Amino acid sequence: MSLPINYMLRCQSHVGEVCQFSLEEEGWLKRYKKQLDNAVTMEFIPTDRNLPPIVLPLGNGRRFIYVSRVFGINGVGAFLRLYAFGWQATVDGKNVKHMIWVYPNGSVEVSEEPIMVEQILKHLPQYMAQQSLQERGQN
Amino acid sequence: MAATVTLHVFTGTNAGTESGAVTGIDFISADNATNSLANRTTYPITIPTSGTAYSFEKWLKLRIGAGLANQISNVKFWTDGSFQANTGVKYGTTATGATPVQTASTKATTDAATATSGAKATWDGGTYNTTGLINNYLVLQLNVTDAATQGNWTQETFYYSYDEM
Repeated sequence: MSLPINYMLRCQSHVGEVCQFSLEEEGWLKRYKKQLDNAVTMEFIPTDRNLPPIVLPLGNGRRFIYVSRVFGINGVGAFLRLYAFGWQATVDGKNVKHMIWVYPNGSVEVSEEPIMVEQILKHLPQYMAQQSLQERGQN
Repeated sequence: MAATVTLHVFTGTNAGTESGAVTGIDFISADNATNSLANRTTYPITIPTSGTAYSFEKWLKLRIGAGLANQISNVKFWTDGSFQANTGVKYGTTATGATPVQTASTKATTDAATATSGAKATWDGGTYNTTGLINNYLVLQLNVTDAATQGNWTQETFYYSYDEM
């Protein structure tokens, strides 16, 4: 089971107003809606890992994307959590989306959907089984 | 803190009895939520002399627990795309509970091998901003044909994902 990465979100508006809160804060999407709507830059800062922040340039009709995607594996009981940051905008009548996915070890993937995760999920059951055997051997 | 989301099996009349959190399920000839070798040994699927035999349907839902910051959405389900020869798993989703059956399911009718990492199936398209169960059940059923080989069915891995914000 991958440990979550705790992020702080720092938003700055076009007049320089700064708003900062934890993404673990309950109800932040509604509570800071005005600040989120007016943000021209967003900085996602890991607070519990030595990982680089993710900075999103917004404005010009760009809407931010943030999501934490959780993968569950039935039969293994394992969870893998990725984080996605990015923006989307309507350009020439088309929806354009740019995303970056952050993996539990800090690796990143620039893609609309995560692809590397499929290989991890494929091998995770075997890895978990080996871990379990090793733990049993130690006990 | 991220939300705690757990997988549960629903058994009995109208799939109305919720199990505790599970990490695996058994396709067997009984309607229970147990996941053990003893359970599978006690309630095996007998290979038919002709046609197809079925496991009891498994009715599954995710339960959203504490720690939810905003919402959970985009619940998907998929498999690795293949099953042991002469066996298969069908799936379906529904919001309405029905008593699990061991005959050909009218809920789990789509070949689960078609739900793959490249073509994930939608388990639930709703958006949830409170704790509790998601709306849709995922219904699964094992099919065993008369050409199947006797013995333990190869363990399969089923995957699911959801987006949390």
